[in-house]
Amino acid sequence: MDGSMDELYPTALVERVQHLCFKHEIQDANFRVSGKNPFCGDSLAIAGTIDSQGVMTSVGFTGYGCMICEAGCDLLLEYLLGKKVGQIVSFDQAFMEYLLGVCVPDSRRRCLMLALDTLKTLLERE
Amino acid sequence: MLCVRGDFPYLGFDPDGLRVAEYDSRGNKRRPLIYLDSAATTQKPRHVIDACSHQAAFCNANINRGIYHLAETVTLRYEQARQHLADFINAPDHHQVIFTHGTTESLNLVVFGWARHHLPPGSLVVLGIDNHHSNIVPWQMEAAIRKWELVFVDILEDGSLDFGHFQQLLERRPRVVALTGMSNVSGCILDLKLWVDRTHQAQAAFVLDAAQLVAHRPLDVAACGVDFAAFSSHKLYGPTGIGILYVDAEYLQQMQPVMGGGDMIEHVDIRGFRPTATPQRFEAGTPAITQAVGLSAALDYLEGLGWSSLLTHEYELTRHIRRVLGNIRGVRPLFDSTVRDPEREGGLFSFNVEGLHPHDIAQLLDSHNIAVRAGHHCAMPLHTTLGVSGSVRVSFGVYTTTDEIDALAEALESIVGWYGNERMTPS
Repeated sequence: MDGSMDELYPTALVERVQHLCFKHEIQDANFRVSGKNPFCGDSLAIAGTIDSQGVMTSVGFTGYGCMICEAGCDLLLEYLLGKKVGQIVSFDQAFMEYLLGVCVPDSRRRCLMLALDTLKTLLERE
Repeated sequence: MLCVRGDFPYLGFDPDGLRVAEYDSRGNKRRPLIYLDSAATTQKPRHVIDACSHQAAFCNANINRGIYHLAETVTLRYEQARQHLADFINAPDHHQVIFTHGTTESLNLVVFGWARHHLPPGSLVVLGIDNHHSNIVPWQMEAAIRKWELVFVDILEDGSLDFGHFQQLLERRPRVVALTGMSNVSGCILDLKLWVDRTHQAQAAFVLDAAQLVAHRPLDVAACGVDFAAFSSHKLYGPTGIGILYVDAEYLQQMQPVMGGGDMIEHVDIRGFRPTATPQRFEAGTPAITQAVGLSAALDYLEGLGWSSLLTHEYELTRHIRRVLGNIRGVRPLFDSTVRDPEREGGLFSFNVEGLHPHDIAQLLDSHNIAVRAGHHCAMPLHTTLGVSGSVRVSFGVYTTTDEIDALAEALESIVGWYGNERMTPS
């Protein structure tokens, strides 16, 4: 196995993708947002519930994406569950790379950011 | 097999005779790049690079303007390049060859310079479902304004266009048929004479996207009778930034300039302008002069190799890749190419790997220093028809070897093994 494969796809990321925690439908969601990466056709739909304090109380996603996209989404939702959604306004690529544990090349930036950019459309509605 | 890697600086040897090596972002030496993305753009032979360098260094002036010796020399070289292009595609007259910035501009020129003025509202335009976006989007842009109807020819399981469906569409009396001569996803090559003849029997014009085709098969516009043909230099071992549009003489007279400015006028005053003669009336502004000379040098290079050698080389690579990739667990070719006529395919192989996203496959291959293309390849309608969001594409050039394909297969085996038996199935 080429060592450089592990640089972008460490074992933790691969295992995460193979056992996603948040890839499921959410019943009785009070928000639904979706996003697509036109570059590759990846698409995510994120749904869940946010309480009156702005705290995300349930969340899940459906769709199809590459490992970076889906793992990134799963980790982001895991981070946000139980926290105030409004804080995502300050999240950026560096934060997503921190969650994922890898630095992604420029060509994969959209993959990494799809989930966050999709969730940020929620803030634009408010 | 062709043995031409030494002709290509990036793939071959430096002046000291040492093998050129790649370095990763940390400065560690990697094995030389295995470049399997020639359908996106080809690597350039030294002959082309030297021609461009010489032109820029020692023969640089603007064309059609100066009346000094250097300017006349440059103008002559530019027009000689045009004649060379005309000869390459057997165009009846070099005035029917318009220099553009590439296939995309050429096809836009067909739509906005000809179709816009000659297709009335309600006109039917037939496109191929495997068309590149450059031969779909301009038609869509204008159809929304002119109220044309666009219909798409289906593909068969082997990826070729469905001739039966095409004939059904012709019964609806289209005005234009705009197809790709060679798909950049399936590699399928159109029987041009057959399709063009049927189009003309239906009294429609035939627009050919030859961007992939010209590097893989000889194009004889007089023999096949296409009315418009577009291709780019950079897929033909020439420089980026230039291409051509060939136009049948009758249609050429019907075309209107799309860009206005210098060089395309005969007269300008405060009331208006008169365009100059063809093809210059479609070449506003200072053209890509160096690139035109480079493109002509690329044709020299290919003509030196000869079509017989090029085709034999390609047939062997195509057979080899099917053989080696067909044995790898999880590799799913996008099309059933086993039933294809070898004359009707060339130069590339698209596939997916079960459980892995195309981008991940391409990224992992990059870690093995293998360059492939992943995504929708500017053919989203085709991928939608196939029910996938994208694919991995391997494409060959004159410098591609069977050893490189073996290395690709080895890397794919490694990737499949590394990912493990638990596969994430795309939902």
